[in-house]
Amino acid sequence: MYNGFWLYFWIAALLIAGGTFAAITVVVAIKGGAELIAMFRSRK
Amino acid sequence: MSSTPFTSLDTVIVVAYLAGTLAIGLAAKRFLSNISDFLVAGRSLGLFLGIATLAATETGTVTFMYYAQLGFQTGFSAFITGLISGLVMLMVGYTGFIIRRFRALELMTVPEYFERQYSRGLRVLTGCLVAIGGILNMGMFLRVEGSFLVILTGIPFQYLKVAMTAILLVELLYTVVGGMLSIVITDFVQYVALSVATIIVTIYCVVEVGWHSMVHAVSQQMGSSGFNPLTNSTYGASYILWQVILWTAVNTCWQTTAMRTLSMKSPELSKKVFGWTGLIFLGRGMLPMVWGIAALAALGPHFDSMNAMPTLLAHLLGPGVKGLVVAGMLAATMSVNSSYLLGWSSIISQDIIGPLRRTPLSSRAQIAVNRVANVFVSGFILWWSLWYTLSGPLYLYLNLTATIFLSGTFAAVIGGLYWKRANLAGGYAAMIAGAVGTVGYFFLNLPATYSGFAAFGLAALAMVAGTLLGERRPRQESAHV
Repeated sequence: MYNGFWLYFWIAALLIAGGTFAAITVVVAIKGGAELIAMFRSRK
Repeated sequence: MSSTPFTSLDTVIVVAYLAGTLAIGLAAKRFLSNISDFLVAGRSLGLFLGIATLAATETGTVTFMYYAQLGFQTGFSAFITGLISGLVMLMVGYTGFIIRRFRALELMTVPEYFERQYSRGLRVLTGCLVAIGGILNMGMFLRVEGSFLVILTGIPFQYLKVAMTAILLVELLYTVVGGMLSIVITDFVQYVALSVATIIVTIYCVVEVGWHSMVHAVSQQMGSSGFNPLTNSTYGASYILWQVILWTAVNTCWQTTAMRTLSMKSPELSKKVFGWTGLIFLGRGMLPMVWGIAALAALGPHFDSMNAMPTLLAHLLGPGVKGLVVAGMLAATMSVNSSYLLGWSSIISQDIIGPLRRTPLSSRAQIAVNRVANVFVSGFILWWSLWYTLSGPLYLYLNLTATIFLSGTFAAVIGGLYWKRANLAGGYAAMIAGAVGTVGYFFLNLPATYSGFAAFGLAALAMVAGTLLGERRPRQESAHV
């Protein structure tokens, strides 16, 4: 089974990609909701 | 392996989600007052809404399908494509390359820039090429999305066309009624839903199939080329370079992405949105590839590469979870398709029909023309989805249809924004040469990398040669920041 540099490189890249994806989802869900409400309130 | 059933609970989740999204999208109509609201949400988006709408627009079921297919076919080497898309977007956000100046010019579409910098005629030509490339690009979406949903829900395959038409009608309804304002609200809801679905599916794939099995399957089927993109025949150094150029062009000149740049409150905010979305794009690329690799490990290499991932999910996901994932994928589908419908129809109305008229249209008439264009684009992509048979990886088809106009647009925009001598002859030459460069892929069966390189290379050369050989024109100050 392949066990070289690229495997460990892709594991590290995947962990960073997955971690930031999940973290940004949480932040955007919370702060984006507030922004959306403020945007439409200002249009009334 | 046998599929788990799509239960009543799953159906309730999906129907509730669809009804909620449609209601929210239609409710936005009362906030709509002019064409700026309709196309660029009145340029009122803040940072987090900008991130949500940009990420949702560029992440559809079709995205998951083509990335999973790459993972299934080329193993971990496919990650290079996801890595490039994310890193390039980060760089565009960090430097503000093109996007900062575009936003400062207060455009509504990319071809509009061509009239300000070059001429009305070049705007119309660019609009035609953008519409052709964009609509052909979107033409494959419905079939792929329909296949995904049919496989995952267990609906008999003969209802594929019905599923495709239903998806199209729902998204057409709220796009036509509420324009960009509807899309921003629904994009936000859809971004959250599709992100949660992405995380759930990734966890399921890794836990149920097993990381060790996935590495073992890729090692056994592909050897080291399943891990090293430089030795994989699909990729290599030339592919990497082409992808860097292509993704820079996509992030700056792709109409639906540019509409987000142009919808932001300020140029500086556009840069921040791109920086953050670049991080999302790393996961947007790599996580679906994990699903494809899991499908390879679970189903074997002889399974149909396009249908392998949804088939795996149909087996893995249990009741309730399957409903959540289908709702998330419908979210992804609708966020992309609604924005693309608006993006390509806005090109037809603003950059082809509008400039060709002697008297300008009122804001209300522009919205009406845009709505008719929406219906026309929808009809065409439905027909194209049913008629066109895809050969080769979907990802490369999408890359090359985009390259029809992106290669010339990218060269002419860079020339216009950053080169004082750029002139009309260079602009025309770039657009025509870029489109001609893609002929090799569509009609001569040349590899995608060669055709992609040829298109971008020819467009750049034509821009320089056309400018140097063409008539020197004074610079139009309105087109510069």
